Amino acid sequence: MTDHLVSPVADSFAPRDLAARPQAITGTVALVDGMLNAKAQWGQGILDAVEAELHARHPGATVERIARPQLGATPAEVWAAAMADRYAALVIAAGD
Amino acid sequence: MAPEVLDDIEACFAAGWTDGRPVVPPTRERVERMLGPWAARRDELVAVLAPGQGRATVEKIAANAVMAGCLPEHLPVVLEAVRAIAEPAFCLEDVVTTVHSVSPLLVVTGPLAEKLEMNGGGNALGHGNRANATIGRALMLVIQNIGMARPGGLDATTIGHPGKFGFCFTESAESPWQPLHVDRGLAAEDSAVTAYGADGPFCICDFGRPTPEELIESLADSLAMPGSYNAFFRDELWIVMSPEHADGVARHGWSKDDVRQAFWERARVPAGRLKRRSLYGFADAVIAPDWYEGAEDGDLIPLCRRPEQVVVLCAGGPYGGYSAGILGMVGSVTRKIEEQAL
Repeated sequence: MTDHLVSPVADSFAPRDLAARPQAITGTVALVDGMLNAKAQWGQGILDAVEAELHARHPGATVERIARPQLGATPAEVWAAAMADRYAALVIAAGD
Repeated sequence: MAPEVLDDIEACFAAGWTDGRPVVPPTRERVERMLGPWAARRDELVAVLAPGQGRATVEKIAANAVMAGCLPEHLPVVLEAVRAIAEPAFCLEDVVTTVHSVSPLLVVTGPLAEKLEMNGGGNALGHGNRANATIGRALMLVIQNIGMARPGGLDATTIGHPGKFGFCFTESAESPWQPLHVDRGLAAEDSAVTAYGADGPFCICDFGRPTPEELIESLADSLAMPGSYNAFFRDELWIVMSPEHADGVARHGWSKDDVRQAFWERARVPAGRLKRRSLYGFADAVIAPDWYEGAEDGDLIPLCRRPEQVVVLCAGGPYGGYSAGILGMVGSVTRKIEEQAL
């Protein structure tokens, strides 16, 4: 029984801000593997599934597979701005 | 000890609030005593902590400080440490959820460290001092209970790290150099806490009477390991020099900048060794660092991108030719401890 104790556990959590989800996508969608080197063919399966789903849901969209810049070569915010300029959407397959 | 206190300790275990060691049960009375003048600000949001996005209020942090065994005068340090790890530059989510073995390390500097009788002398990085032990432990309890990075859960470390029980010290009063917070632009009369995502300390001994160049070479050779994160990501690293080692270079007129530069020039790993050893598989299968393409086997790759990423401190007992290297992730964050709290 811990009723007489002050709980040290957070009792509220801040929701993460999610980007608005577009109803329709036109233009080019970039698919990038968050951690994995595209040359190694790891993790490309999940991007294959995303690509298929995109074609089904947004027939007007084209898809392009891109690679992340090498570690340290481009600051993250610079890369993010370049992606925003160039593509209608960016899908990153997260990994660890 | 009264049986009901033991029952409360067991209840804390059962609730999943502890780090595996017994805690001081956070009764209302104990939390109020911890809050003291902070009671009027109990609901103030100090930070939102990744990965769980838990809202760390003053009262929640105080409850964790009670459990860690802190005294009320330790609370301002814990509060500022929480703000430090929540800064984007600390990359809290990466540090506390990675499979790598890394843990937040705190260094408290300035007059408050002395007032709290923190240990920067013998066994500074070890056990035996209440403020060192409990401030560091309180931060880790906050991370697990508010940030929700729990072992076996969102804390995914493969090997783990004894510093996850708490890792906190201060600099030596015998340091020949200015303290870390002054390096970071604060005034000597300020008190500050610096947080760093740290690997375990690696002890380096050199018992001779080396020249500064020879001593720094010993440290650099010992830390230039191909299996470290630094060898790959080239982020910040710390050198904790014992007073004997620090005096040994300072008496030759060497500043911290001189140590940084000399270390940076020497702490390098041949690219070929990295490619064939620790990076074999990583660079091929994961993602290559910027230096990888075009690097010849004989090229020497520094552990940091810039000399300024080598943080130099002085701590430890007065005798002994020992220093410690602390490799780690990303970069450290220094925050002045709120003056009104002192």
